[in-house]
Amino acid sequence: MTPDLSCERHQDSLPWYVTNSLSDGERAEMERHLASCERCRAALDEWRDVAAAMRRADENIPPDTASLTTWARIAHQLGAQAEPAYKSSKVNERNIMGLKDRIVRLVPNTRATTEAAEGARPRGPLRRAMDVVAVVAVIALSVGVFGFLAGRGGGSSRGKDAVAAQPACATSKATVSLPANASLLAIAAEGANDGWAAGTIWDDKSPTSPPAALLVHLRNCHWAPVGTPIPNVQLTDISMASPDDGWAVGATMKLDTTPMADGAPRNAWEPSQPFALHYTHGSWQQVNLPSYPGAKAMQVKMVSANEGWMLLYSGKRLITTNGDTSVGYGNALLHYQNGTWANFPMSFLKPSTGLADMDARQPGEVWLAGFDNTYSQPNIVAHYIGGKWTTYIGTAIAAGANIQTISEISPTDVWAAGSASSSGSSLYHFDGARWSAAKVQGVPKKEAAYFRPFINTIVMTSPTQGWAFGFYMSLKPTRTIRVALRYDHGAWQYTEPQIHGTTIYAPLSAFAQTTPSQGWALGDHLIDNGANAERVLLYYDAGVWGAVRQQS
Amino acid sequence: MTTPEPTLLLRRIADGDEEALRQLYVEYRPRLRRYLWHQLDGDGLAIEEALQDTFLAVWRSAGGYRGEAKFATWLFQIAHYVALRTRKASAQRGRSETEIASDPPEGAVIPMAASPEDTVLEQLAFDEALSRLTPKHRAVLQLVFQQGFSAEEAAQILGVPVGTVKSRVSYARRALQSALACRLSEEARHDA
Repeated sequence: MTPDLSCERHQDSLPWYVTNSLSDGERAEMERHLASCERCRAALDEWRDVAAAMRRADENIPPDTASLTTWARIAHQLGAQAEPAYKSSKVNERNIMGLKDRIVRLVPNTRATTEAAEGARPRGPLRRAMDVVAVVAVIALSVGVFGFLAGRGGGSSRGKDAVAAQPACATSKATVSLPANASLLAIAAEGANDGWAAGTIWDDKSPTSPPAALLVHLRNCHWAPVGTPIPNVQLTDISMASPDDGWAVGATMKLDTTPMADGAPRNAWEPSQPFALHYTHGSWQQVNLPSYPGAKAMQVKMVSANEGWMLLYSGKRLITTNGDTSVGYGNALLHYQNGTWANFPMSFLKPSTGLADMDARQPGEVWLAGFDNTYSQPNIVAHYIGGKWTTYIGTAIAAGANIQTISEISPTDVWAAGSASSSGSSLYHFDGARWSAAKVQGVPKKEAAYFRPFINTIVMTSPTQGWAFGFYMSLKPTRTIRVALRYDHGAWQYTEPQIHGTTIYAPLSAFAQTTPSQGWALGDHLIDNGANAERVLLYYDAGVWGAVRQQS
Repeated sequence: MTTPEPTLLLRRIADGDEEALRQLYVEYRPRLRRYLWHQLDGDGLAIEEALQDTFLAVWRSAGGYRGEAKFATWLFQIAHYVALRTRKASAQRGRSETEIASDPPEGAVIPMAASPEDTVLEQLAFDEALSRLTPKHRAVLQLVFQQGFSAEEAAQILGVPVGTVKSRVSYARRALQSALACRLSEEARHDA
């Protein structure tokens, strides 16, 4: 009798064994039972068939073409449903689709009282699409405004030899002096004594005050702004080909004052044109890019001083094909060669493809990662090598995964990450032939059942070292747990980063390694009783995370 | 490239931040749409209405989310309720619900897998069998195998005890196999 009862109990749990949702203990017990029970093994095969067929059943669902229309209807009704006390005004354009945008700060809504009256006007994407049309009158900002940014700490005498002469800066000993309202978005390190960070100064409390580009330089173990912040410019990314050559990119911004339904100006800052600064001969200079009205440069990745890639994004827009309206994402790719940035065709790109991340390590090669909501399995990775694009879509990477971030070591050693696939993995490795999901070791036993992390940033620093940052939701008790997964010689290890005993709000982003045991990162932590999040420059030093000390 | 975590988004939504709701919508629409697709028999209009109602419900009730359930569980709970209501309304309007009315006959269980070349045909047969399940049995299969929820989470979403989830998922498999067996025997008769 006992074996039958045991079988019944185990068979009840087989569906969750198949979906990898059992705890470690339950799983081990199940495996012990399966080893000795033919009947349960046969049942397991049947459940696996059901699971596989269920996964395939989604593939027949037609492409999603109504997303924007339905959102417009929802947005239209919001005005009548609630009294918004707060609204993020500048955040509006900065965190759509989770595309390489890392600002979390909320700002009081200076127009809260106008919200209810705004209901009649299409809001959200629809209005954005209309605004894109309205952007025809691009404000021609004087090139003179951008001027010439002399690197205060980047004089022409600075070079590798000079850097090597300095004592190595332990990241935990460094200090920083950032101006008020500074928000760093990207960081690049060139050894222990040299680093750059890029971002924007933006006074959230004053909607019409212009953003200004900010470059921060690490010198003598101190991070300090260089030059004068460039008004009407936002910087989003930075990549150094060497200590003497690098690029910082973003967008020139213009204030959209289109009147809303009540006649008040919209007062939102929109990208006007992609923008790039080139660091060479010890100073930063603006470089003209091909014209892409309404687009910003999301990312830049330099392979060498002579070659690099830049990913542009011009926001969501409505696209109508054969009478069906869908959402398009307006990505473009620029390639830097022979001293010029030029458009690089992406033959695989559909209007509905949104690109979220990019990486490049070798000449003539680039990786792009993102999603396409017209696929039932929306993840997509595209690789350009040998003069052609190869794409990996949906189950070619992992069923149910949503790829957000990618990091390359070589064409046969690439990591991508995002939300958990149907098997529970969030980390996927490409070995040159196929993608496979990676397991994470050291997950606390009580969290094993809930550990399906969303990874927002993956940074591989060598074939044997890397970081993946993200979070997952845990039950019992319900809470969000931020994780910094560490790749060390073939295995991903679970860690929960702490700053001064407090869990980093994170997700961490933009890790830059200085030595194998040290590095810089950016993270957020909650302030104002959780109402706002504040961006902080973080250090990593031999297993310890901390906030770089602000020096007034 | 951070998509703020759902709990932060919910806090912002509770504060009236429309952009936060939109981020949530963009993030979760594909998953919910797939779920609702099977729940509402592929009725595009009903699915869009259900998605709209779901996110409006999130907008209204974000302040009441106390983190007692995983966010996705909470969201699917809302979507499931909306789908239930939609089906009820459509049934009242005289649209039929497809159901397998009774338990599958004993002994009808057959292995589902066959030779690889039959995979496409098998999947078509499987899809048809799936569409003939009752919505509650489809729901449990979807939540477990497509959405990856645990038995406890599925129970929370469906508002039933964990034991019921386990018996439903078991029943659903038998019903699927039975439907496939019927189809195969029909085909066999036809071929003969």
